[in-house]
Amino acid sequence: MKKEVQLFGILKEQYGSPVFVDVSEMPISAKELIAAFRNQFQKVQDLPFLIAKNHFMIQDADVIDAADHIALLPPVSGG
Amino acid sequence: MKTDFQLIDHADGFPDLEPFRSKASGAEVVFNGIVRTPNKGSDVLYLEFEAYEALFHNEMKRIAATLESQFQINTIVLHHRIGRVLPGELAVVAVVYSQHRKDAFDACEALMNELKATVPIWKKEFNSDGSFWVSQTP
Repeated sequence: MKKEVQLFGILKEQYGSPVFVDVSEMPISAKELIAAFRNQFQKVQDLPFLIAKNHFMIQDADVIDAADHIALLPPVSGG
Repeated sequence: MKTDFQLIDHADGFPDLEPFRSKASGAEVVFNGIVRTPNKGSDVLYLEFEAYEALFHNEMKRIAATLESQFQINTIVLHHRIGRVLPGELAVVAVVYSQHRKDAFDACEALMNELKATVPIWKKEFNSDGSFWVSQTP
């Protein structure tokens, strides 16, 4: 099943789209989804980023299901 | 505790603080973050801010709860610009109301530290030498 992952900032710009499509089997851990993104998009190998599920920050071990809204967040720089 | 968190997409949208003032708050600490130029030797033309709005509100609620547990505060206001912001314009306004000044000063500083560490806002600087995404954390 395809899953759309929202991208922001430098991730969106470098990826060339506001959405990354992941084809991993769900459920999947946040860590596995990040690895899938890094694997598909080598340019961000060295860029740290966070992950959000349903508009809340989550950790590597948290589980993502097909219905969840997911976003990958590059380093923030508000203020 | 009262809170007011907003993302503002125009230059004249920053808060009228009068409605937030009360007889219970003897201290009002305001931090105004202003786009500056030059920055690191280059003339800044403008900053472009982007935000993840739903997560912005959830993170601000989490931060407010943390600050409320650490300081005696009555009200927190944070308005942040999104879109293009020119040098000399306000990028962020953070305001904390408390009974006494120490909690208001300390909480306002902590609020800005948290904003810069975890709140999903990103800025890209456009200057006389090109452009780059500003990277702070993680």
